[in-house]
Amino acid sequence: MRSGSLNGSGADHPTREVLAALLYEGLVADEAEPVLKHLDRCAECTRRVDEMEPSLAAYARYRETVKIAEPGPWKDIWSEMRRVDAERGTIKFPAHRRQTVWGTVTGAIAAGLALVALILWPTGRSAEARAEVLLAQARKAAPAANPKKRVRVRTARASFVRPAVLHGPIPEDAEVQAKFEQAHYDFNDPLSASAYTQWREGLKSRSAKVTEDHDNAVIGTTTRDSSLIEASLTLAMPDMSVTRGVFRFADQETVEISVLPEMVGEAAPTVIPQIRPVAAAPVKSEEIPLPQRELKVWVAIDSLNAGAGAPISVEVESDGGIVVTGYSLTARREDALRASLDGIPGVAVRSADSGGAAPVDQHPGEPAINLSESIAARAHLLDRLASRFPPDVEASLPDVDRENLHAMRLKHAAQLNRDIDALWLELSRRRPLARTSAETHASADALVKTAVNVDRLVTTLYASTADSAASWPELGAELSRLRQLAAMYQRSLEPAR
Amino acid sequence: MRVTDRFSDRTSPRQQVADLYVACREGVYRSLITVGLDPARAQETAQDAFLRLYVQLRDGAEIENPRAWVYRVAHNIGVDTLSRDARESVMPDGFADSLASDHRSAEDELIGKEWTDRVQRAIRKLSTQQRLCLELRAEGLRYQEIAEVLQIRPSTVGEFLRRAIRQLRKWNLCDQDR
Repeated sequence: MRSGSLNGSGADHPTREVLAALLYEGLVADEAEPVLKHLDRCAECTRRVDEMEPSLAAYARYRETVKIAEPGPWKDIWSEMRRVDAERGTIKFPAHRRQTVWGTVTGAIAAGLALVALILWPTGRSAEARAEVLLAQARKAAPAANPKKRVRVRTARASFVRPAVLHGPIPEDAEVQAKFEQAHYDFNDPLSASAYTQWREGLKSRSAKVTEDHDNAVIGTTTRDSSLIEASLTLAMPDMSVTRGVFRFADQETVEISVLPEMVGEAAPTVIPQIRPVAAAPVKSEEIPLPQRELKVWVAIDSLNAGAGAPISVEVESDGGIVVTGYSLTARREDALRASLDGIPGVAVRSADSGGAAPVDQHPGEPAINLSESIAARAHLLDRLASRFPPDVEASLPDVDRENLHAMRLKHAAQLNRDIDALWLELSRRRPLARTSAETHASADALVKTAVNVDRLVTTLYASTADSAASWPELGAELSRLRQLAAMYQRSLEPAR
Repeated sequence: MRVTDRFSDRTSPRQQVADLYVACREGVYRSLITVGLDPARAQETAQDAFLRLYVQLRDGAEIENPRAWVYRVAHNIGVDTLSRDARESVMPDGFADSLASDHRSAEDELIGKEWTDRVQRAIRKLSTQQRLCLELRAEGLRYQEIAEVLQIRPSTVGEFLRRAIRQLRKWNLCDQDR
């Protein structure tokens, strides 16, 4: 392992040796990423790389020299955008609108809303007044709490599903909850117009912005009086149900909460065995076999609810050392990571600072896209566990570790199946999907490949201005396959270890 | 031309997209040619990607980096199109056709056909991903942005570039004095 990717000088520029290793020998992912992040923001080091390796400049020169086929005249984007807006009534857009989910809306409200369709409200007093009217209507239209209703909470580092209304703390929420509490925003029911109103009314100064069309109204509020500096709620028309909230905090962390479609005919919940905490006995690394130590690391990370999709990597080195790297973790989360790994011998914890960079994953904010990303991340995690703990390795583990491994796999397999069902329902709102698959064997590898393919298809379809009919059969077939693979995978875990 | 990553909140979605369209459409077009689309489809796909961005912004989506988003969506559509047409190959037809179009500048003549042919042969040896990483890097995208476009880790981008460099070095491309 190369020690210290950056040279530790005042400017922390990578040494020439490190840049050469990046260019010619290759660095392991955990070493390469901080260097690449540095290059992204350091023109001086980029110039050094260009000087060291003239092939890059040669390519750039070639690119300028040999012209590719010139495109034809470009369309006038302004008229194209106007055309898209004009055709909007006939084009299928992502399903923002929730159909008869939580009660009905009065005829008076519906008629009133129809009149304001396609109005863009400016910021300022009129927007403030409009926001209050909309919130009052949403509070009035709010149905009784539905215990089956679920929301997905998504931050830069984690994504999880929870009940829409909480009646007690759940561990996944601890860090996010603290942020909301500090901002005096009710996190037990964050997607309620009441919670949003209460928070707004506690602000000394605020600025509102309202955007409306015939499908949605988005109410945005910005303030300097709170650690929650910007929050927006999306209301689906005409029933005024809240479908999404986006919350940006002063530390630039953004939390997105979106309603998941209700499950129809939900299967009996899988009983997930309890994962036992890692013992923190101060022993030498050579006294505990590597697989055992590595599993303890995975269990510890999982206990932070950071296993799937989290920017934490685990690498095992040739000398048996385990390096855990957290990317862009907050100080609080990094402390939690270090604390959870404390006591496991032979483990080094590193943090790769993004320098205030954007969250690792970009997400346009559609439930289907969020779900498919989460599915792909979880499939990757299951695949990683399968490759690190194949049957012979698993058999060598003590009982307690085997039980923990089994519980962890089962937990993620169950969540994977729930997410796939939710995605199926979400997509079915746009277009019926046919079940076509007949899989006979499920493996983590097949899960990953299919999940990644589904994610690619969903991303493409959901970013579309028009319904891409040709892609739906392929998506339906892949999602059918994924659904079957995931169900089989979970079943294979359930009978026995 | 480098475009700022986060547009001002005061700018309307139409203006944001129009600005980005002018600044980046050629780059998106080139990247699609690199993936293997023929010029007509590449242009159509590039235009489509910008319109999709407009729809997302108009509908209130929060897109942290619109430039990377457009490249990513265009790339996904391009790959999807190729996949449907079963036209994927080591050297996609569109890319080969585009290079064969012989749109060469006077400067190219000056540098010499031998050198450009050598580079072209070297580039043909690269995988689509390696070529795309080189292309996007030359277009000015950051490693993190390229990773977002290709939906891979930045370290994988670095690895693609390293392999591309190794391949290019074999062809001794740097002896062309300029």
